[in-house]
Amino acid sequence: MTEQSRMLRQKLSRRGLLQGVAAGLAVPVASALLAACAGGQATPTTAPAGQTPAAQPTTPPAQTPAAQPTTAPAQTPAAGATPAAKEVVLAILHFSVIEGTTWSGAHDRAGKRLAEKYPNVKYIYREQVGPDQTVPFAEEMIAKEGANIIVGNAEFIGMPLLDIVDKYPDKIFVAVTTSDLTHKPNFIRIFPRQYQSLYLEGLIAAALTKTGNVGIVSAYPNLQVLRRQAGFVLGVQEAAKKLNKDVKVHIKYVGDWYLPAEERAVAETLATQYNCDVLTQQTDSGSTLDVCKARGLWFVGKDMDTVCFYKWATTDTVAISFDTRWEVIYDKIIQAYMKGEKPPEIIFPGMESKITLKDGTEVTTTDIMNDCKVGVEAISPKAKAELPQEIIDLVAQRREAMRKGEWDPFTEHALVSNGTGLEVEGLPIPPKGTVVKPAGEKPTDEFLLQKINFDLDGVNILP
Amino acid sequence: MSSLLVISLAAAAVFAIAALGELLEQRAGILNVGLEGVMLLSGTFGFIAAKTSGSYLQGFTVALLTGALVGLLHGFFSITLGSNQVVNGMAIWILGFGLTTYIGYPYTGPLGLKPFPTVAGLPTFFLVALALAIAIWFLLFKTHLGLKLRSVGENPSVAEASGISVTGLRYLAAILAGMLVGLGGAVYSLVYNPVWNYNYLQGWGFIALALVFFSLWNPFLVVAGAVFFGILWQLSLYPELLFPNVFSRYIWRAMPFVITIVVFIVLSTRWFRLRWGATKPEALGLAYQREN
Repeated sequence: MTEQSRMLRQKLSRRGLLQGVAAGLAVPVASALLAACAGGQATPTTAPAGQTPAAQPTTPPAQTPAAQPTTAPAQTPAAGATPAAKEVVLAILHFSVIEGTTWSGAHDRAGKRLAEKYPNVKYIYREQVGPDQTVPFAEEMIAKEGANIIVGNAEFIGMPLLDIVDKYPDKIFVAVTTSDLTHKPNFIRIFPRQYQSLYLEGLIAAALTKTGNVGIVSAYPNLQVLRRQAGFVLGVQEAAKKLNKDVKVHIKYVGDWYLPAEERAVAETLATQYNCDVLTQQTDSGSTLDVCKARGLWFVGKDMDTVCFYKWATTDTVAISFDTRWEVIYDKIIQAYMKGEKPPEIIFPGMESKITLKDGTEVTTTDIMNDCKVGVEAISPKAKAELPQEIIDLVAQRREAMRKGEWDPFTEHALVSNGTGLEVEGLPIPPKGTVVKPAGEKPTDEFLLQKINFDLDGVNILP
Repeated sequence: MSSLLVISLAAAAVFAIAALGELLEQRAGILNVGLEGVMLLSGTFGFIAAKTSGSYLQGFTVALLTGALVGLLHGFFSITLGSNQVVNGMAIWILGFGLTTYIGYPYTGPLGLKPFPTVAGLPTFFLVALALAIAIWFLLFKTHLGLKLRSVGENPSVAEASGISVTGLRYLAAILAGMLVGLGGAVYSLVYNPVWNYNYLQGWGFIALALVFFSLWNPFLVVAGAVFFGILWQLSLYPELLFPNVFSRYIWRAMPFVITIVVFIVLSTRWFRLRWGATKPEALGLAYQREN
């Protein structure tokens, strides 16, 4: 409560300041300047350790203890231990604003959790960073604030860091990977295996649909989207087969990550024209969730548990969601830096990797999560009542196997091309029916990050 | 297909209400190119009010008041100070974008109220738009006040000489227009897509502005244009529902804008310009200074 009050006062004070400035606007030119300050520029801010927005609790309060095994099969070696007192300044360049966003919000939470965990780790950030601002901001943070690990939280703002990696050989630069996999000893590429959680979501979605139609409101075909969709579709197809149901996945691309009106229109049409009663999204606005809420459809979330952290809906609408803990990835880099070692140049962890937060909560890189609960407990009670027990058991079993690092949907299942996808230079879309990866064969990280340029056979890509 | 039409009409209501507001003020000679900003400000403040109070009524009231205030601000710069109306409008747009981005973030996400009721399956605010079109047409062309409003938009010097208060009527038009444009913004943020995100309008205000020019400053043509654009926009997302396997989806997505270019070509013809010239308010966008 004290923390919330402090945040509220801070927000009020910021608003008050802005209102004061706005009230002083006498000419339109001044308003343009205000706009430039408020909406178009980054906010150089240091986040004090422990500071957490009221809407974003640092730990899942109702995390089910039983869902978290006490053993940590692939725990980061030094996680939980107090590292040597080498000062680490983790600088994250966020491509968007933080508050109210699921992607940058999760990165920000990661930085704060690590600053809480380690007294010698300081987290600093800039918001709304464009590609042309990446290098100037990074150099400014290095020079003025002593940043030694600099992260671009999206590929398009991370790649420009490549221009300065040789200039600062003692710094570690990190960029999220979407399609490019360029890496160097001090240019690290990262991504979490969110497809594992998406696979579990797919199992639930297929079991939930009564019409046999599941819809995805998607951004545009790119390797990250295709991989994540493939994880979801594998889950849908496996559950449908197990339940002997005919379930179709309809995917409609709106053209970009953030087009609220188009996302809404597509969600509405998937519901009305394609009879979808379960919708999920690979886009960033809340439009699809709102359509589900208004029409009484099930929504399957992505990236962050928005029921818990943002209260955007209840479990009457959100059947399941997943959470991404970038802190697991950042922790690997911090640990290596503390020891004076070079971190792996590609870090692509999944449910098998975890860290222990300051309060003792263990979090894996990704996990199904909803209403602050994790694992099978995260399934909405209303949805759970509609699910066959065999699917609930399957979700629990697969999750546990992935947490132990013993199972992966992309190893288990064959990856068969639908003949649609993204044509990449030197990588044509495999013709429909092509078995690109046979069942039981473990794909390489490079394959998963760079070669899944096709939709899985059986999905309906709407024109 | 019927649901497609209903969604199209819901989108058309946003375009039409905002464009009707702009039409009203353009008829009085005031040009506000910052519709997007007015809609963002009104829609955002309306959203915040509705979300915090749980009441649509409060949301719409705040939106209308916000629109009126911004209209007054635009009026002050355009009428009292006589500054360039295009520049003022652009400043309002930038102000709206920046201020709402800053203030709205804590409210990101769905509104959380029950969906706004419809009337016989039709979007309520489309019917409101139709009623507004009739009311504005009646006001402009069938009342003494409307004649005076149009006269200050055509020739303010003559109107002033006839004893009409140009300043007073232009302020009235700017404030009323601000309220209508604000209502359009609130219809978007509270009814059409009740989910707040930064810059959520993504250019809808500019489409509404363009509709006024397309309409020849006729309220009924504004509504017709809004419906046409609403259907076209919706169809561009799902062309296969009506025209399966005709053109690629990328061509369909470009179609509303291709048609816009065609319309502009038509507008630029001599035949059309003659007709347009007869309809366009002569003093549109021009500051009026009373002769001493």
